[in-house]
Amino acid sequence: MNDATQVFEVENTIEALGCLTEDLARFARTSGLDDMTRRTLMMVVEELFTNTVHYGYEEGAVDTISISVERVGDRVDLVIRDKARAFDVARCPPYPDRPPKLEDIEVGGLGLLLVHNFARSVASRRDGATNVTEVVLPV
Amino acid sequence: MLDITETKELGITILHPSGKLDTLTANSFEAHMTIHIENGAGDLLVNMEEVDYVSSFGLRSILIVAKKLAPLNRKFVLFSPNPSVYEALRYSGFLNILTVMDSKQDALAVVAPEADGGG
Repeated sequence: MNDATQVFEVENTIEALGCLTEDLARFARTSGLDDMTRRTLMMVVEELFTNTVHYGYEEGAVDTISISVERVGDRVDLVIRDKARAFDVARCPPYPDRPPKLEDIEVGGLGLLLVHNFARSVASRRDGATNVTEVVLPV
Repeated sequence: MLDITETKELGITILHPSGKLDTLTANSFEAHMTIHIENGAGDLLVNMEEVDYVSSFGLRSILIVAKKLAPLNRKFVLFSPNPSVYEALRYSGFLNILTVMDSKQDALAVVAPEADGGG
């Protein structure tokens, strides 16, 4: 981590998402990211954050989720640390096998599918009780 | 934050959401669209030009609207998405099940083809 790295620490609540995306938008502006990269960063963080908050904790469990972002040349390095249940986000869900009828379609797994398609790479590991998710986004 | 305004052209309702269609705004988008589905008639166009990005929750709300309109035989057309929104629609497979057009003129031509090309 160097001086160009920004770290945002937020509560594990969906309500925290609003401030977090504003912080990310500010980071994007000060880092000179174009609109496409800014949107990708905000969307990818939202998907991973929301996934963790919705499915990672027992009801009422309190955690502080750390999101660090850094622009490194033609990429943005994103690292998310949380103490939620272990979940392997590095495994890309299969591309949805779309049935022909609109009425039959479900939306499960769409968030991770978007993350994997927009990101250059997605890795996750367990460091003690902490999940460490490392994502590289193209600029 | 997602603001939604409304216009009419050729008798067709066009909704103009502006902002992020994400986890925090998807419900209000869906609720707004549902009002139009239940109280209105005819086809529905959505101008995506001012939608900054769409997350999976936003995609889910779009899908719910499409599912509500389909059995009513009312067309549902999105138009002018920015490249980020277009890619999200493509990656999710939604381009195969929704009508997404480049421009308002193209979208109007889908729902009111007789009005298109009149010069």
